[in-house]
Amino acid sequence: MTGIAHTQAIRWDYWPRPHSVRFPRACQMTDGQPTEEAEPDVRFTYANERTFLAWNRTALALIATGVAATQLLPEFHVTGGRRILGLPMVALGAVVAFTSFRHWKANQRAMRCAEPLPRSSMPLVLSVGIGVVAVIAVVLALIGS
Amino acid sequence: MSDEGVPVEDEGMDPGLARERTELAWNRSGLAVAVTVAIIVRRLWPLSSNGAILVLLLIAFGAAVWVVAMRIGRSARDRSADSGALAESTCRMLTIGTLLLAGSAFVVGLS
Repeated sequence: MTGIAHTQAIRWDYWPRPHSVRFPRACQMTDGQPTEEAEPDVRFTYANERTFLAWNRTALALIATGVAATQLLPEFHVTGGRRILGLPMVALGAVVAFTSFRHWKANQRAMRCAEPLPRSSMPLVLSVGIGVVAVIAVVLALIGS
Repeated sequence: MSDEGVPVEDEGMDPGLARERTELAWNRSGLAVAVTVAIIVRRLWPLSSNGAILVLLLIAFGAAVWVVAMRIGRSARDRSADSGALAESTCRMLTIGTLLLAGSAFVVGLS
C-alpha cells in the first residue's frame, strides 16, 4: 500500500478525539480536579514525533562527531587533548537523546490534556554544550600553536 | 470542488503532508544511525581487544534496537491510523538504542 493510500484512512479533524489507551494517566487541572483526556489532532502528534526524531538525529550527529574528534584529529600538544574535545560531545549526545524522550512524553501528555506545551531546556543545554566544546577546541589549538 | 468553484477539503486529504514528512524524518533518522554505526565501526576495525568486542556488542544491540523500534513504530501507526501516536515504549526503545550507540562511542573514545 502506498503512503498516499494510507493518508486516506486518516481523518484530519481539528478537534480532539476520544480517549486513547496509549496515555492512560488522568489529566489534572490546576485545581486538582481530573479532566477528560482526548487524542490531539494527528498532525500535532506527527509534529511532536518529527521533533523527537530531529533531536535524536542531533544526538547521533554529536556522537559521530565526538568519535571522529577522538580518532581522526591529529594529536594535540596537550596529553589526551582529542579525548577532552570528543568525549564531551558524546556525553552531550547521550543527554540530548535522553532529554528528547522526556520532552516528547511531556508534549504528548500536554496535548492530550489540552494544556500549554511545556518549556524545553534542550536548546539552552545544546547551545551551552556546543559553546563549551568550541572554547575547549580554541584553547587546545592555542596551546598547540 | 463546490458549486461556487471553491476547493472543498476532502476528509481524507493531508494538506500539510504531515504523514509523508514524518516518514521522511524516519528515513533520515535511519540514515543517521547507519552513518554513526559506520563511523564507530570504521574506527574500531580490526578488532584487537576485549574492549573492541564489547563496543561491537553495544553497536549491534543499539542498531538492532533502532531497527526493531522503527519497524514497530511504523507498523503500529499503520494499524491505528485514527490515533497516529507512537507508543511510549517505541520512543523509549529508540532512546535506548541511541544511548547504546553513545556508550559504544564513549568506549571507542577512551580506547
